[in-house]
Amino acid sequence: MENKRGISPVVATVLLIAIVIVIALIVFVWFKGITDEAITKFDNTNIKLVCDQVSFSADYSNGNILISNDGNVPIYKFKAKLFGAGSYSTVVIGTNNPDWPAQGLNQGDAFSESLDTTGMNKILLIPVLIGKTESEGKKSYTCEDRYGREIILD
Amino acid sequence: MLKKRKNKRGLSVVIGYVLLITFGIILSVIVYNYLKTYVPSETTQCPAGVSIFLKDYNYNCSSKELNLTLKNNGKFNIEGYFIRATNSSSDNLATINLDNYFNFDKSQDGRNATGVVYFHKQVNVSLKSNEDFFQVFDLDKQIYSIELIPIRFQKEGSTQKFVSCGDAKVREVLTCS
Repeated sequence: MENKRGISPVVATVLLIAIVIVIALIVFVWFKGITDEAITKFDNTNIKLVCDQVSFSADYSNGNILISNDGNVPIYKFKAKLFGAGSYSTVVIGTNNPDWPAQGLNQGDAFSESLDTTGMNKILLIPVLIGKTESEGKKSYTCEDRYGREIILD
Repeated sequence: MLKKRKNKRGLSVVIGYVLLITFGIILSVIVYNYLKTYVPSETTQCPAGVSIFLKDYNYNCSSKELNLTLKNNGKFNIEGYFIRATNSSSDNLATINLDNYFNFDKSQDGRNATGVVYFHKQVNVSLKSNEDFFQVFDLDKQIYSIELIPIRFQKEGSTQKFVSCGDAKVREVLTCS
């Protein structure tokens, strides 16, 4: 009887700590699941911060969209929001165009392609970057609209 | 009986501490993992004093030869430049890459590689501040204007980084000589 009394507090403590650790792990995994996994680029910098370093020029003339990467961040793709009367449609620049570099527009690269803007009055060109996540590897990220370049159509 | 109670009280305090520390550590790991990527790291940027100046040019529209005299009028060395052109006055942005038309034999020195025209054939030799340079391009089509973006190599830590200086871009509308 004396022996049993001596062991049970230790067992209870071990059990308690084990349960706490298991619950903590469950909470950790759950919490990780509800927060977005960070996409990083360049020495584990969050890609949202990298969007701020993107620098490019864009113009629209004679039915062609002209883009050049003037900065030091490679731009994987561009999303063009074409604004018409009360609505907009989205086009990915370079899709199905063999001239678009597979790795995107690197430093100093430039690109042009025809873009149908019939009935549209404005283009918002938003850069898409490629980063990496711990679980999924390479993943693209579309920068926020405020990092886009607005082109007013005549 | 009294002894037994004392033991239990002592143990519950320890468990309390263990729980508190465990939760503290787990919370700090979660917060650290969430925030660590938001710490901005040193970015590759061109210094503000970088500048290139198109001192003179000669564009022969019939032979389509373009001679450029460039000057480094900035405070920092530059290694080369991106050169792009437009072929129409309506284009405000140059997208035609001209580096492939670089003519080494007629130029003072240089080479072209991966879209860049370098001032010297030798790697890591720069155009220093206030130096002039003469380079020639043999084109196969008419162009209207050119854009130049200087590039340089910057040492960051133990590595040399290629940096494009987009803020120092220059544009020139060409007229035939």
